[in-house]
Amino acid sequence: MARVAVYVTPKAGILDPQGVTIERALPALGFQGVSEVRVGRYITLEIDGAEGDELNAQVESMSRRLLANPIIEDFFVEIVDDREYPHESCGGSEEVIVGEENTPRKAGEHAASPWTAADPYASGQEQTGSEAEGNEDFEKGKEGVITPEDKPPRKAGEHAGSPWTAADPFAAGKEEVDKENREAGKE
Amino acid sequence: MTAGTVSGTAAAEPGAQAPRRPVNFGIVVFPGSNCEYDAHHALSTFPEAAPHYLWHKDHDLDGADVVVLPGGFSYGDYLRTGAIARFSPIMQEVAAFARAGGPVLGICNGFQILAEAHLVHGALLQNRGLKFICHPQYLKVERNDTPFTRRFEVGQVIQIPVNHNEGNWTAGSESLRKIEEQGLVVFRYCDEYGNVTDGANPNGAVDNVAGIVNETGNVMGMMPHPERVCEAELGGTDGRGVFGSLIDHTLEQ
Repeated sequence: MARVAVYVTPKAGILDPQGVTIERALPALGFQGVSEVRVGRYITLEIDGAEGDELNAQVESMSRRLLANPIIEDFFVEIVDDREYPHESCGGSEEVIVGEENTPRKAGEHAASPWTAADPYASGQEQTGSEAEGNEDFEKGKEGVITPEDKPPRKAGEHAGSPWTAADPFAAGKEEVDKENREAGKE
Repeated sequence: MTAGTVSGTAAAEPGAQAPRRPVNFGIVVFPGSNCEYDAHHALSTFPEAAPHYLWHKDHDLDGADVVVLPGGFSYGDYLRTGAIARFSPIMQEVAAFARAGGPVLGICNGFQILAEAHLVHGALLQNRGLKFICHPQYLKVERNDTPFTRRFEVGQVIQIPVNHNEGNWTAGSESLRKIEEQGLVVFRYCDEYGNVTDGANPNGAVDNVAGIVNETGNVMGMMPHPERVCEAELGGTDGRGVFGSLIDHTLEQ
């Protein structure tokens, strides 16, 4: 039994209105310096009866034909066993690295991530008219951003690995927010 | 859902010349389609047309001269719009029919299904404004040499309503260049004077594309709903041009 994760992301150059909207919303919460927000889809599968090259070919084919639309989307496949399964790792284990006490996370053995070696964006260099429009919209949007004056800009995390591992930018941000919330609560 | 052939003579005027034979329109019904009745009703106002429904699990087109993929939310728009419907049994027949030169019209969700099935170019993204849009829309007719637009003039401005959340048509830069070179764009969003501008673009579609044909011109996908403007009482008759053209085209064969 192989466990498979397929990440589907909008191709580079394709306007992602959801990503743009989220990007505009984050500064309102005090998160500065956030850019390139893209909203994709994370699909998990279990596959029986195939392994190795055959499994790879099967997943590649199903991703290309159904899970993603290669005209507008890139996909990135991760084939993992039980130990490495990102969702499983949320249950706690020997290697707790970030997060609150009740939701420990375990570092996965993710050799690659969508943002590193196997960067799905790298393969999609097609530019379309909507990109220019999207950026223009974004630039306009920036001017209207409301930043809470009392909150200092956030420090960006080190984006070295997958979002589920040590350098998880989301987890780091959460920690910081939690800390601030606690401090705010004391006042 | 597999109603038999329904005679389209209800609206025939007394004394109207009997057509040589009725033009058989097969309207494919997917789970979640919701414009099939509108299409059926619109077609039934043409004395020459004989619309009937085709269930998505059918394996033959029941003698259809024209196949219509109606609007709606086939399979709940799961995964991507049109992504699942594309694999319905009848789509194999539709693809074979299209390859053989048969006219196929995809409206709204039907366009999305055609794009997913690679029967027309490109893909439909969510509207750039993130909103579901539903309003009358001006379109500029770019071609009148297709089976779908014979009753229009090139450059004519028509008004047909749009009603969608994923109508933001796009294609890679290379395929876009080919599409424009070959003149596959049939309708573009425009203002009432026919100016194709960004301001007149309701959903962010590249080059204001509202409808395109395949290279052989016999498969057209369009986001606006011509079936909703086929009677003056319902706000317009510009949609009649699309179905009327298909009737003219078929009767001429």
